[in-house]
Amino acid sequence: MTDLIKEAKAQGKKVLTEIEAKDIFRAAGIPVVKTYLAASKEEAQMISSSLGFPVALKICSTDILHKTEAGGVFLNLACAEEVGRAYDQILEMAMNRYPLSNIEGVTVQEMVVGGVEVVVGMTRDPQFGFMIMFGIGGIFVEILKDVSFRIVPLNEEDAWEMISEIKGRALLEGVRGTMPVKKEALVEILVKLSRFIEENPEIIEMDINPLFANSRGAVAADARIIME
Amino acid sequence: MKITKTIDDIFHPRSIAVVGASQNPRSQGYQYLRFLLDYGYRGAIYPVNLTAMDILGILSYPSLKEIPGNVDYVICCINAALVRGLLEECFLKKVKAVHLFTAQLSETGDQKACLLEEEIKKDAQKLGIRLIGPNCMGIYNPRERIAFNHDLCMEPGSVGAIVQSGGLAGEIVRLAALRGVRFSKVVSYGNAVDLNETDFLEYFLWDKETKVILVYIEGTRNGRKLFKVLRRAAKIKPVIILKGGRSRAGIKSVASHTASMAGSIDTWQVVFRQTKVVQANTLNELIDLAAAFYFLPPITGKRVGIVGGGGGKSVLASDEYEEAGLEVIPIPEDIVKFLESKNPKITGWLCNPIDASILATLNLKSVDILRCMAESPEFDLLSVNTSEDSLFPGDLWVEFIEGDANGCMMVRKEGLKPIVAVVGNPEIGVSQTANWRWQTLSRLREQLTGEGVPVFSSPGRAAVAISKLVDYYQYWKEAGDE
Repeated sequence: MTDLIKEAKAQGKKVLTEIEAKDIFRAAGIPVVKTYLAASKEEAQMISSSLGFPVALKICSTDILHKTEAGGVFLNLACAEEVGRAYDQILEMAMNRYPLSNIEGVTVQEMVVGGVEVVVGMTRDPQFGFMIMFGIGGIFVEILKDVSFRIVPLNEEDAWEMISEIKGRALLEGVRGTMPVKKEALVEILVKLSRFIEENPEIIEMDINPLFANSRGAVAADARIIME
Repeated sequence: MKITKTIDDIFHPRSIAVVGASQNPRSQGYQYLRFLLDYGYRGAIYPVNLTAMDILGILSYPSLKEIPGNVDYVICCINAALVRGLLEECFLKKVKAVHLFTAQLSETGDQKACLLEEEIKKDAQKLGIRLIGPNCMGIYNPRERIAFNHDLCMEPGSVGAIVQSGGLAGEIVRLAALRGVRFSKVVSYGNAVDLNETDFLEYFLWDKETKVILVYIEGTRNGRKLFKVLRRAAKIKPVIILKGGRSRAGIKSVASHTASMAGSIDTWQVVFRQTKVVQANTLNELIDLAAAFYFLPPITGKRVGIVGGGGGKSVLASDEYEEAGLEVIPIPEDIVKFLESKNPKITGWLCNPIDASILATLNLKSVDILRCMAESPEFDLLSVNTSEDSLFPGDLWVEFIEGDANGCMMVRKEGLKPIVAVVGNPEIGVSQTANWRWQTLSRLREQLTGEGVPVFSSPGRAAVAISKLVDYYQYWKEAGDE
């Protein structure tokens, strides 16, 4: 069990924040985008400048699971002014729509440019235990359901098969002149995730959605971890 | 004791007591005794019945403890409420294993029955008695002349079967036998309170008499363990599984995308894909696959040469083979040239599938064509699709179709190439059973089967079975190369 999870468990947490989840994935060897928590508008602007524009702002609250639907996500913010405006809007939204929710703040994140959005996740099957999912991400993930599953533990062959099993696999081969996705990076992430799950059975669900994959590798732009 | 040894002892008992044996032919206790007598089981047989002096001419005992000799194995056909008492008697008599034909337990879903089953399980554990069932037919071992149904083939073979259902176990043995498949051992294991599918898989993987394993399963109590054994299994022997009861994962979505996606899939499908077991989608397919794996060698290529069938039937056959993932490749040039040199009239006519109706009027025989194709390295296997219909009258038609079958048997006997046959199996009524056409088909089917040719009743069924077999052996070969 990693220390971060031990800590979360000791605190009796069920849902981890995006920042906590990303720290855990980073510790497990999975690349994640730089993400910082800002407690004020000024702090958000300061972090943005040091990260370099464009950036993304997201609400950070374990009570709001669907951030985008709630209006808590702003992408491609190009300057400090835009960041400030987004910050205000997020807080206003939270105050109006989730007055009783516990808001930790707003995260400022680097934006990933280019790549295919895929999704990787884990859940627990009542009969066969932990399963890992791979699929094409983005806005259609729930409609197309173009995903594949494998039971933990995964070996590399399983991971390759998961990737080749999805209907949208051609998207990974490069579309309209883009370079093919580095599938080895995806395989590595899937296998690492499997190992991580075996070592940390108190996690019962997780999502990395989206995971941006391009010709150089893959990086997690959003993450969610749910504990037993 | 190792599980393999435990189960091997169960399949080879030196004495069997049938508890609940009765003089009433409508009782299962009577029938289990009949099985042992009819098939000629050579060990000691002890009927146990509270009141009868003898049953079917054998001295009966009021209880286990009155039996003079040792009892290795008990077939229990008494009421569920009496099972716990019987287990105590079994302990005193040093019985090692009990088959509970007894039903009306957890399968009913009734709470009391579930509790009773749990008590039975605990008792057996405490007393060190292994259980098969409850709610199942038990074991079939032709070498020991033990069976769970009438008129089953007693010639032993190399297919092992693990069947959760009771009725289906007998039917699988019977249907597969019609296709020439012979069994090493079969178990029908029901509710699996003690010995379960994973234990029997371990056994059949270890068992030297078993080369292919068939499984019919509806559910498991330990999916993790089953997954682990299946994963290991496919590298050792082909495991062909038919899953009864399509199920959704039943995951309650908490909050993640992954869990909500998982709720819409059948996890068993994931398990089968990942472990490389061969999945049968229907009972017919299970039997087809049993025949394919029983008779065919480890084929690792999908290029199929088809001989037979008239125009439309050839087109349909070709569609079905391609759809199943096989490659209906063009007839290699050298074969075309050679055959055209023998009979110039066929120039331009030869393509795969080779239309048998063109041969009828020429002096080319399907046996010659089959030999040519069998000797060509371009084909991975051949399929002879008999022409079940034609405009010719009985005598001529029989001659043609026998030619096809003879060619098929020649290739098989000489071991030139893996070969299968398609012989239609129309759903005839009793008024048609004497008709020469259907009789000829039945006769040829039996002849081909007898020569070790897997026979399928349609091109589509042949194609699906072959394709799955090749997929398996491709994986198996790669796993072996590692």
